[in-house]
Amino acid sequence: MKEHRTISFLLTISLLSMFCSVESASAQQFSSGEGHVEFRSHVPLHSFTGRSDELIGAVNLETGIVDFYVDLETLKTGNGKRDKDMRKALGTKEYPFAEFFGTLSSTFDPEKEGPQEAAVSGTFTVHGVPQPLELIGTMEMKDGDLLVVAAWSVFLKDHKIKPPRLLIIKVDDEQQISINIRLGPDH
Amino acid sequence: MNRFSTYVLVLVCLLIGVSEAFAQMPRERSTRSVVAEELFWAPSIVLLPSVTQLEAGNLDFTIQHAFGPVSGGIESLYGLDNSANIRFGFDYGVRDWLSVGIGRSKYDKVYDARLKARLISGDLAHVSLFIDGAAETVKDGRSFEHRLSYFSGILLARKLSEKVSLQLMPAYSHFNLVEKNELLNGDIEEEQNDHVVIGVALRFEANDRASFLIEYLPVIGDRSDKTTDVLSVSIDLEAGGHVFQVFVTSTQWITPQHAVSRSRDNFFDGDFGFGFNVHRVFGTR
Repeated sequence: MKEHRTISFLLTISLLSMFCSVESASAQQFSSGEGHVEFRSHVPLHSFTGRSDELIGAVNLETGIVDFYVDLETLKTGNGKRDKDMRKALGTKEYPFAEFFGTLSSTFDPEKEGPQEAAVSGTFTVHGVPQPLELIGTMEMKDGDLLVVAAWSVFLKDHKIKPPRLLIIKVDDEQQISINIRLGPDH
Repeated sequence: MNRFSTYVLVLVCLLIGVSEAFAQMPRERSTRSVVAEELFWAPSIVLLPSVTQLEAGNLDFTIQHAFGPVSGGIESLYGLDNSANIRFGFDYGVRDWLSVGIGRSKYDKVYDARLKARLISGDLAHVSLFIDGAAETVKDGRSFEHRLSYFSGILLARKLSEKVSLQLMPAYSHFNLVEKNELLNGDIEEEQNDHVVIGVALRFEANDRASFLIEYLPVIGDRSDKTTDVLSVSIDLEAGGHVFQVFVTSTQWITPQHAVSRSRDNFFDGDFGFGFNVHRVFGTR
């Protein structure tokens, strides 16, 4: 009888802790599917920008988890042929996502107004090749939402991406990436 | 339930709770990310349009050349010394499903305007409408109305396999004015105003940079005297923003209504010439 009571107690506690853990995490979690990401690419005498408004992200202020991804086939540069070359270079059929998964390494005060510097460290993966990434962006609470802005550089060779050629002109190895996303609170 | 099982269950519950909080979001493909299946690299095959549609805001600049017959041999460098028909064209994507274009060809100084609209784009087939209107501006005393010709048809295309694409184009060609001539031997040679053709194009993609195409334009029913069905064989080469099409064809006409109604050479008699098309796409937005 005593053992039965102990078992019931332990199960209740563990289920409660599981529920509380998820509930508490989600109370501090912000996510969205309406972010903007763009990359700027250079070739000699010319540069172009690829954009997507389908950046999806989540930031959990309690656990510090930062998670973003974009379907690379939603990126548009304004030129269909160039988009096709880009998709080929990135191997989007096999590796459809560019993604970042990491943690906040600085503190963020949700009560404070205005943008705050936010340092994150984690892994950026594109073309199926993960690379460690540390960067500093900004986060800001606005009308209950969390605004995240960040920019960094990616080197194609680090991710085993063969730069596409426009005739004999090669696209620069360095690509400048920027993201801008508004994350709403999860309920 | 023994004590060990209970502890395992508790541990699992706790781990689930923790892992939920630290897990990655599930990755989901965008519903808008479906890239249109690519049946042909360029908006045209050799003479006919293809179902490939220019994206909105894209401008396709096309240069088309059709040289003389190779039957002239080395003396005429296999037709390259002969006068070539040349067409310059601009096509613009107004919407992702609609493009309009203009062009000018050397033979008979033909100006043409064209429209291509994608009607259906699905797994089963891609269906587009194509209309081209042309005016010959060579000075010969004809009225404007008598200079006009038209070509319109429905493009039906699908992939037969990963590497092979097929396109059919039932089409109608019309010239407002045609000729009827009495030859020296007393024979009458008569042109027809109207031609019905079922264009067939087959493409085989060899690799990421090269594909092979055959385009055949058989006329169905009545046709102008002594005209022949046009056959073309092309190699498409893709290089960055350009598509180069190098081909042999049994006509020097470039606009489809002229090719269908006025070609007189027979490919299998060796009456074909070299030609090339260059497509360069510019983004304007």
